[in-house]
Amino acid sequence: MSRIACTAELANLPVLLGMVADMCRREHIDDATRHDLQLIVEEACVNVMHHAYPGGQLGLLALELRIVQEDGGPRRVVLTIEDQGRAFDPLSLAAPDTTEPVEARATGGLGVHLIRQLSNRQHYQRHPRLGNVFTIEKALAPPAPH
Amino acid sequence: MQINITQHDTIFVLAITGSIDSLNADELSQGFAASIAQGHVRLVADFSLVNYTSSAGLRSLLGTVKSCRLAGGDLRMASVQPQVQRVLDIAGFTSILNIFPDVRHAVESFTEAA
Repeated sequence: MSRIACTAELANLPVLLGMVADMCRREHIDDATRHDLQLIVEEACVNVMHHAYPGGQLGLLALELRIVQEDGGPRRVVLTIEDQGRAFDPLSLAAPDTTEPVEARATGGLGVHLIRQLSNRQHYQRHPRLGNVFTIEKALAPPAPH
Repeated sequence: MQINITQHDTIFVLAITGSIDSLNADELSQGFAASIAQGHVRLVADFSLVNYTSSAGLRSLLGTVKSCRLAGGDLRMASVQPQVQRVLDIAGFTSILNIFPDVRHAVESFTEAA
């Protein structure tokens, strides 16, 4: 398990993505999955950095990465993003209409749409002590034989 | 991320290298906007060396393609790599952006249309 708690500001994005890269190296996770995990973490964390706390106020963001495997099941990565900002369920956002013509196309909700499409399960909880807890799971392909 | 700009007649080709993320997407938008401000609205984004884009990069591309088309031009993409192509597909951007296999085809598409 790896965990980082930091202030929810864009300057900390490289550290958070670095933790994902380290885990992928350690766990021999393939490049395509690493790409998706980095994108998921960027989208989820940047949402917190931009929206969780009122302007000018710095709050905390915590990212936890775990590899989970139940007997016989596939390995999966469980990512948890916590913040103590205003209650907000990212999964309540409507998916953007990806068929609209260019002039009508909006970009709000694109990040959460990418998270949904690139992961297998997403869950949001407003926890009395931890605040917003957004959990995302992604199944891992079996490791390539050596 | 690096942006290298070359001119092919009236078409500006912006060759981008690296990852486009929330930290540098504004830089990309400014690169496109600088070309548009000079009146160059026929742009090609060479993505052969782009291995990653988040929604921040998608927003930059969408804003740029809207500005170019309003001014009678277009932003066309060239050499999009598979992982980035998948993100464009999921976001529904492959239906609004013109994507070409390489820079030559993207540049030529402007002259064919003229």
